[in-house]
Amino acid sequence: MNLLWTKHKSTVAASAPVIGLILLAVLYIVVMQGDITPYNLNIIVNQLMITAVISTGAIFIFSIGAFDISLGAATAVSAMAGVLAFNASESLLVMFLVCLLVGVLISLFNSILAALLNLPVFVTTIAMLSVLNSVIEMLLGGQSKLSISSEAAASADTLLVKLSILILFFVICLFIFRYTPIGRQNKFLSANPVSAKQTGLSRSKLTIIAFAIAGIGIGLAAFLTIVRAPVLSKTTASSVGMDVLIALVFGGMPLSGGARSKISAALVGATSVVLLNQVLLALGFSSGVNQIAKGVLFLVVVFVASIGFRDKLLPR
Amino acid sequence: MTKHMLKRSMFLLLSLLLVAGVLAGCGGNSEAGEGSGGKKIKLGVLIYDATDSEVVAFKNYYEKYIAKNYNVEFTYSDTINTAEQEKAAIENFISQRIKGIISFSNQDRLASIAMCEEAQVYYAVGAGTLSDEQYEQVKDNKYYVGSIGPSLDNEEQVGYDMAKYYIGQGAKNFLLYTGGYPFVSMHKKRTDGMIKAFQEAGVTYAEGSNGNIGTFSGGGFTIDTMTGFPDDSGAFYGTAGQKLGASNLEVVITAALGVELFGTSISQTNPNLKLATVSSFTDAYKSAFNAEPPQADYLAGKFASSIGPIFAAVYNAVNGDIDSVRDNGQAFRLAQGYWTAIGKEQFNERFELSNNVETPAYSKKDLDTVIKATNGDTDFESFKQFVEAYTYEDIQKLHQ
Repeated sequence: MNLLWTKHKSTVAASAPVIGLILLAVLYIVVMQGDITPYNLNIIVNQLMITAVISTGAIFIFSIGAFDISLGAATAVSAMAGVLAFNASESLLVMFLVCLLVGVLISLFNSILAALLNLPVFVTTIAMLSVLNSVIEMLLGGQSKLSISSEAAASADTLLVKLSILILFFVICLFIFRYTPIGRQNKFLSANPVSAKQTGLSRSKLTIIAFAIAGIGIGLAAFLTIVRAPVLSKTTASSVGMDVLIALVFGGMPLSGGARSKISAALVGATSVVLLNQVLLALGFSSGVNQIAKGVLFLVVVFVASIGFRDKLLPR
Repeated sequence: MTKHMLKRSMFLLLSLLLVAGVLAGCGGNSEAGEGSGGKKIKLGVLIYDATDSEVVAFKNYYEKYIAKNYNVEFTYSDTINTAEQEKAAIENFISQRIKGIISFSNQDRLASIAMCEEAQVYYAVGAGTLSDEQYEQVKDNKYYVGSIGPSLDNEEQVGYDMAKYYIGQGAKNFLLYTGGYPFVSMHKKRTDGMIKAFQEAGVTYAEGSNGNIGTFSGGGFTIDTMTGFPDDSGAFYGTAGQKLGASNLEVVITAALGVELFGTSISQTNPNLKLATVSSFTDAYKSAFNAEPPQADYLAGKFASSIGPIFAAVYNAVNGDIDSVRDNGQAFRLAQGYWTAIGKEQFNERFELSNNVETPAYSKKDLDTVIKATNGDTDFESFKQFVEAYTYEDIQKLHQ
């Protein structure tokens, strides 16, 4: 029994997020008593989209053992820049490009600043969070809201557009993470920084690349944020940072990064969180209880996910 | 099994038990759908702040009175701060098969109404109104029930009345807090009312640039202004403390939050100031009016059961009787202003009636008169009269 457990516990831990997702999907079907309409599925897709896109890009940051606390604020700034661009040009394409550009620039600035000052990226993202919040105030220009017309946003607010963005971005990230040196080097860098350095890997270079990819995710999410709800305010995307963290943990991503990092954590995690929310709501739980249940399940997931490597010499 | 494994298994088991305990004991109400009058009608309520005392008072009325007296079950959103959160909350309501939504959130109402139409869910504005432009766009939407709340005219009148009252009392030195002026329409209207009252008293008002608040001069008055909201920097409270400490300042009139923003500063810097504001008859204001010396002197406030008529309208709609609250076939837009209380005694009288969940201002007997299922004769005109008779004196007459 003990031998069998030792042999398979890594597999169990690695599969736990997917098993959890399947269980949640089954539970959702049960609690909805099979009465699931296309509208319900649309709701699930809509609610997971933004978190999934940002999480997919953020995997590159987390996989090097870094952490970006300013993801939400960066998304809000990119979205507001996009709205201002749309209002000046009346072009969705311009809005899309501005969102993307600002997202990448903010993210690059974070990483380059960290490289120049030789500071942990986490530290610069804390500073950037404060700066970006001020930028949000400036972009609002004293108003409480910035918006584009619902009609303008509606043309891009289709499942086809949104799913295309998510799938395309995910496939590209999957390819980079699994089949190019960037992904492998990222994992290696976090798993064993000393060896990585001795083999000639540049932490600064990898960090900048990771943040650039995450920046694309931020830009895409900013565009999706506008399309989903074209009225932006000071608190737009303020919960994104925490949503991404929860999604990644639910998806089985080790927060310390390293060899066990997996790109699928973004999709699996974001979908799991939305399904869990829908299950709890369908059961009729109040939002407060909903949050408590999520918190406890969060701990359980982290615990289960860590079973496979707790006894090993290197804690990653 | 090793000792480590045993410990982990115990942790896992305990965690799962904790989740199960939470789920079982703290609010699961999936069985609450079956009431004595058949399956309960599920209504969703969009709220802007779950901890706000006004929202708490509204929830108390719905939970402790309406849900006990009608065959309905209320579900509430989380705190809504963004249009995205508002959209997600409506999606969740729709997913839960909710029949009607009463909204106290105002992030993107047109988008909310469009979503409700698509999902065939009734939507009503619980405390507020739509602009003329917005109303034109949705008045024929058969899933948009209507709005009840202070109209922009009501808002202007409130500002005017507050300023007029203190001018009549002989006050000469004022601080006007204008909140989100000129971007928040209700704050702008209230401020416009104040300006009008001062102009009538001989004050010259010079408009500010880009629509910002201007300056006052003449008439023997000293009128300072303050705009904006608190932020993380703390600058707001620094400015407030400085302005409240000005010598000879007598009255603070606010177009936005009052005690919430200025109560503590007034106590600390100038306890004899009189504060006039627009808010609700909540516990926070009860404490302020009953403090020694009082932190608030004048309140134009919403009362907890002011949201009774909008419930009646939505209840009619979900029961298939929306025609009884249709204004010539269109969604209604009815004005319901504030109760006014000046001084502790008046406040306490109104507070008592506002927050009584045993015999609220709008009781079942009152609401039944405008619900088609209980009064077949009701129509839009009677509903309109019912809503517009909202003053404290009107409500007292209902109870006589």
